[in-house]
Amino acid sequence: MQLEKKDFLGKKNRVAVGYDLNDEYAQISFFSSEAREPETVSVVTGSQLYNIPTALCKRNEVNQWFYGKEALKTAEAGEGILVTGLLSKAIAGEEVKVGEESFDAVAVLALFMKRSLALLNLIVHPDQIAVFMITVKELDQRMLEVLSQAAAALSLKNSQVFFQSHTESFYHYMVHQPKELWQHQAALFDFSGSSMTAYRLECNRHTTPMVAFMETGEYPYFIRSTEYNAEEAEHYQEWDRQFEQVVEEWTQGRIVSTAFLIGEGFDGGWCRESLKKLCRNRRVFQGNNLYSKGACYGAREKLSESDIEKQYVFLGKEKLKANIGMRMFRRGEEVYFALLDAGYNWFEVRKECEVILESGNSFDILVTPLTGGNPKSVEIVLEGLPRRERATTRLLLMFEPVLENRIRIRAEDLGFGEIVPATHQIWQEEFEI
Amino acid sequence: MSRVLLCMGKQAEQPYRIEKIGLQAYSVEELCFLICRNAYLLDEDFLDKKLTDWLKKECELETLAKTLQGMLRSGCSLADFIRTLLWETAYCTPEEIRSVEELLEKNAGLSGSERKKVHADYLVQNGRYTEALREYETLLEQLEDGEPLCLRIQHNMGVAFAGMQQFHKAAELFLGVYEKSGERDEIEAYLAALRMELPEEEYVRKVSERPEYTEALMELEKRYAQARSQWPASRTGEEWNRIIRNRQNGNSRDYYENMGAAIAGLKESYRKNMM
Repeated sequence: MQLEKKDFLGKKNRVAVGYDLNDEYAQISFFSSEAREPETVSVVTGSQLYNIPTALCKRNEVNQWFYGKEALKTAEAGEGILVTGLLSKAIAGEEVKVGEESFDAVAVLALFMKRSLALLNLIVHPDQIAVFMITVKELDQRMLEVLSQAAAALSLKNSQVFFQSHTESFYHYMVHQPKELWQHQAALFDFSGSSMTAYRLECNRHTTPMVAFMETGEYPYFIRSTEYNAEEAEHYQEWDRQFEQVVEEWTQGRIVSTAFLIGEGFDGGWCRESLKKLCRNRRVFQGNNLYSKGACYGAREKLSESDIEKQYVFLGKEKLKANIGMRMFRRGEEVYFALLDAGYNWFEVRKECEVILESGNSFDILVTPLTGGNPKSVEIVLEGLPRRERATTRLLLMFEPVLENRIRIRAEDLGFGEIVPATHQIWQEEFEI
Repeated sequence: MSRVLLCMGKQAEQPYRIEKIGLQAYSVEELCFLICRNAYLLDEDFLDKKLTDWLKKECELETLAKTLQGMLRSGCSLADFIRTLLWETAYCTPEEIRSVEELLEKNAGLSGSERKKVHADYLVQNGRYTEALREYETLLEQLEDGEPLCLRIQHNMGVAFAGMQQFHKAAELFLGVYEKSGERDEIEAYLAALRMELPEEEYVRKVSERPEYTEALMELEKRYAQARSQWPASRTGEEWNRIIRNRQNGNSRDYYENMGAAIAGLKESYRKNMM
């Protein structure tokens, strides 16, 4: 099911919020209906310091919790017990030990998120938040479970909370930049974590809608365990050489018109030579609030699809990459009935419908890939369905992706009223797309 | 792979009861099913605003309900109303819908008993003899002796028994109807049933005892000879001749296979008709 589209722009003082979260920091951007672009919340008023350290500190002997920079400060002063790695711990389902006490990791994560939102609440009242988008590096089932549980504790209505990966945030961010910046391909080098990740966004402009793809690459070679240390010159020179090769790998033989460098890992100016290469014939930007802003754009799209985004469909990792449907008869005419559409996050869509099987015990599902490849039919056989008079088997069908490339179908026999009693027999099958 | 029909509207919490049929529908598709199977029982009482309200509120079929409500307001016929409902829904096949249309046109102005007889006749025409006989017997119990409809029912019961190859009972019925009505066709039917029942010698002896049947007998023999000469060219005749030719051509395998299939088909058909 998809959120019913409302006229976001028509409602005054309504805000879309993007929340970027990882083990190192959180970042909050917001987009009000009157604004032309999102704004990022500064941790220090008037500054461009956006990162909120993902940390909590419980003060010794009292039930008082600090978050972010204050948490680090309190722990440094020996006045409390620091808790970090909140997201990883929640994913792992660990118990968080703070002194003698143990806490559920998801609850601790939720506490951090709630406290960090106090910064936003200085600018935006919680009731103004129309949609809340959490963005993380990667989304999988466990991550979705954890984020859903944490979000539930934020006192926001569930229907307002969404999730997207960094790749999708990058996509949404780019789509709203001046067209010349991504007339061709756009690259992003993210060194905000302990290692480097590279992304490249490209678009097939020959289709309608235009299809946007993302390639990603991990570079564990660049391990960042401490802050930049100018005394380790030789070490950084090697990084510079390695990064130059990475740039070569990501730009050779292609037209990459724009590149972004984000993350504290690029601090200190170590990438002098590689930057020269990167800046050749392209525009390069350095910043660190791209994901949270991209999350804001993504959030706004949930409420009201912009004219720009209507022209594109993004096939990121979490997206369904095929249209799923069935050929059916509706009021006597054979039609293609769409069940699940490509381009939507697999975890955000499901479809239910009721059909009547005219005869036999099987039917076909049509899978039409958007990424090339031939359409295919998947036959669903309902073993053991009793033989009945023509068109007296009503079925409740439910289609639900269990992964981005795997669909579960559930069929339930509803019989045919008083004419044919329902057996309520259920068949369940999964197929790859 | 089966055809799949997309359901219209939703299943109702509260069903709609069709009083004349005595059954309930929980969806518009079930409604159409019941209409198709029992159209002979429907009359102008079916043209009820409660039905269109049910379609709108319970099935959430606002457009269909609005169309049908408009038809009710303008005083449409039962046939037009049902035609619209069935075609708009397209749950029944076009052949079924046309069959219903014909039935409704034919039944306009019939009484309740006549409608039931029409249904029983329909069963006979479709080889569902046992069901037909049950319906005829129920009707006879409800009708007064001497009503004209009774004789027609008894004649059709004779036809049903003949279909079941119970020619003795068929003959009795046809004779009974003749004795009350004096219709010559009944004598021919009686003689035909006798001919099928009795061995030739016995048949000849029996009919010779009734010289007043001579004319009818001659007419029957003429028709019998004609039917017999036309049979080889009929579809059934051609099929059987094809099977026989297999044996004549020495093609034993095909002969026994096809013969077996044909006999199995006849048995299956007989069993179905006896249900």
